[in-house]
Amino acid sequence: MRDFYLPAGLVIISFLAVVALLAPLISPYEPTVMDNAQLLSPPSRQHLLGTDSLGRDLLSRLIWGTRISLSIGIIAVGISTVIGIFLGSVAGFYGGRLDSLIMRLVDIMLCFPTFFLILAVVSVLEPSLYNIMIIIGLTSWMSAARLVRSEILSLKERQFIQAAVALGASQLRIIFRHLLPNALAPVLVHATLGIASAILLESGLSFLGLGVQPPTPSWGNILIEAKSTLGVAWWITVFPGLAILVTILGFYFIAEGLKKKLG
Amino acid sequence: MQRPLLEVKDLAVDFIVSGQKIEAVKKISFSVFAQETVVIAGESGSGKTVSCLALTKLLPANAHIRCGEVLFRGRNLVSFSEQALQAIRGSKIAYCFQEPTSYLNPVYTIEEQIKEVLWFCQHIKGKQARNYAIHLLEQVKIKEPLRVLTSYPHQLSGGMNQRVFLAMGLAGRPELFIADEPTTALDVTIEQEILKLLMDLKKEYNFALLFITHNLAIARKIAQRVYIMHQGLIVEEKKTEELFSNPEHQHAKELIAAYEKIGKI
Amino acid sequence: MIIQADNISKVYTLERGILGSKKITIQAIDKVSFIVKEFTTLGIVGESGSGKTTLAKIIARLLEPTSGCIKVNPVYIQDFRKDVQIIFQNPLSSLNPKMRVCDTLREPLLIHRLVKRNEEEEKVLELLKLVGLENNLFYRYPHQLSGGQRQRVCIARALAVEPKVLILDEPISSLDLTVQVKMLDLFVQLKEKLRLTYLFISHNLAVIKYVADSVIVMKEGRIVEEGNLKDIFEHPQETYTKNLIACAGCKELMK
Repeated sequence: MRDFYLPAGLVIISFLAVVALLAPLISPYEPTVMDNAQLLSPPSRQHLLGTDSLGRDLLSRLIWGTRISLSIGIIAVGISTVIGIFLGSVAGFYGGRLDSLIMRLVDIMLCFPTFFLILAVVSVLEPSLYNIMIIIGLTSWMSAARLVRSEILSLKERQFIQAAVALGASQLRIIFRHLLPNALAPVLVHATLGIASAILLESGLSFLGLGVQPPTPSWGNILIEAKSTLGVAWWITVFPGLAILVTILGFYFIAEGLKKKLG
Repeated sequence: MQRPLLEVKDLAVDFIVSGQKIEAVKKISFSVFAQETVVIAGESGSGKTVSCLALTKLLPANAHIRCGEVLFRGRNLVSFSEQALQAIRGSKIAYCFQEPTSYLNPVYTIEEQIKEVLWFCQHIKGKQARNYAIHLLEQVKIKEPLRVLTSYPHQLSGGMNQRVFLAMGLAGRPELFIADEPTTALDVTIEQEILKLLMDLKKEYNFALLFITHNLAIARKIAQRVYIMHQGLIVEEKKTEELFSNPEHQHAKELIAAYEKIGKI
Repeated sequence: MIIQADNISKVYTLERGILGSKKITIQAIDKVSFIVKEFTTLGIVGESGSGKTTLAKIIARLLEPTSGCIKVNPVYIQDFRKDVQIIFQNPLSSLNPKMRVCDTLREPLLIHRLVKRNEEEEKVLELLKLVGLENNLFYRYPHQLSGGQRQRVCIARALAVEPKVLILDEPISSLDLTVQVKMLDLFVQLKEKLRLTYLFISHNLAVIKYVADSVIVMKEGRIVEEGNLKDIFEHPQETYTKNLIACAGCKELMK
């Protein structure tokens, strides 16, 4: 059981990554092409996962959606982790007023209900793919910052840091060579979980019509289109739902596995 | 010849660490007679602590006794149920450890912790228990028992907590006291006081003392017999004076040589 | 003289109470002055809480004293961060767990640009040999080493910059007795070979007696007695010193 999580997670996520990369090659149809003869047709040999109310092939839309959803997750978390590591290590390393300032900023950001903050920003800005990545990234760095700060604070007291100071190491060297590599393990675990929640967040936004805009398919906006036909076409709801579920599970497995491996 | 109070025969303890079996203690045999002071000396990783915890099955979850017998007054503790062992621990066989402060519960006062032991060992409580607790603290030469009773462990020094721990050990009137490096975390002057106290208590309560240490100076001061452990084995067993004048096993020789150089003044 | 501590004090202020209204001050070091002579070993003894480690850090300039100063002899010490090194009690925590032995030993060479890139490996092997370690430890991580080996790596790292003074803060007390003796012999041998000056801090009088030329006895942040080794051990003046020696040397059998 001990070694199950990481391989299982890696298998799931690499499968999804391959699907995302090869989307143009493996999708049987163009995701936006409508077939008026096949509106809401259930899964069949021709359309493995059926079609939606405009006659578009659901499998193709899901495959292209993988691309969108994964890249939103990874890039948004990339942004938030970089901000979090930077602010967290500055706060932890220098301490004093700078620390108080950054941590109060974190507190303030945490006080806003993030989802509504994003909603407000998105409704002002145009909800394009890139805007969404950036906005999710800019509103979810706080926990990474806190994590890095507390790691740095405890590492700072370790004697190898003192030994490095005594050897005349510069502050940059101490931060990048000694502090960050040792603080990174928990951040990595945290980031993996962050990808999962960013994907969920995007799905939620799309569901409210403020995410990735149609006709570009994302798992979230496929789901919202399914809402009106839920009673007659179960497949349009079930398959994107499953895709989200499996992806989140994959990232959770990786996070769990990493947590155990990195101790 | 009289039978020993504690007789350990071919005791072996294995650890399972990430799927691998590690033989921490490899078939050791030793004995402690009533009212005797025996020291098991060895360096870190020699298996001395594990063998002592194994006596009453206080081992961590990833360790188990592979074979051997622990005869206490002729009864084999290895075959005892957990419940039967609980009746032995604390009352017949008392322990004290290296870090007394971490073995005391930080959220209860000393009074509550001693009373708990008294309830388990002697089924006394209330006023009677309180008076007995004061008596015990006086026995371990604590000058202000009333102040100590109402204190929490973190408010007391390491030496004071070790005294409290000893007092709790006395509550069951043990026949065997097992002390695992009880003075290692303490300063030399405090160490001296605790050792003195332990020896005084031994005289008064007539228990046998099994003392585990890496410090040969202590072994020399208190022990009648010394066992030297090395890599899970007992490599030498001798009367104290004989050991220091004439060690035989290679490791014992090295230890004594190191002791002669920096273990004493 | 090579290093001189001049009237060093260190006060810690703790804030207690809900609004930090109660201030508690702790005098960790109280007006400590001493002189370390070149090529000798000054032993500092004291029990826990006597301020030994704080003092070590202040002398290594890892902590600022509240008042007083550390003076150095410019003949010997030009670059403090190179010429004065410190070895700590716990070698595991003194080594970066993510760095292999070779990375750890290469770092000081890099910081002070002491050797050319292509000579680095040779220099690292030389350092390993100097502290009595085998070459096959080159790619090991700290957790794959024994306690004694770790401490030897720490010593090698400190020696990489060719220091003049080593501050040894309880350098052997976390090790087994037989390993302790080997380490002490290594210290003695290195001192001769590299013309080092030691500041040796220990709670163990026997160890101090083995290595030191002169001794300072500390208690509660103050120096209670100082002098050369022989005087302190044979004619201790203060009761505290007498007590310490009596406890460490107690031959009285309590059986």
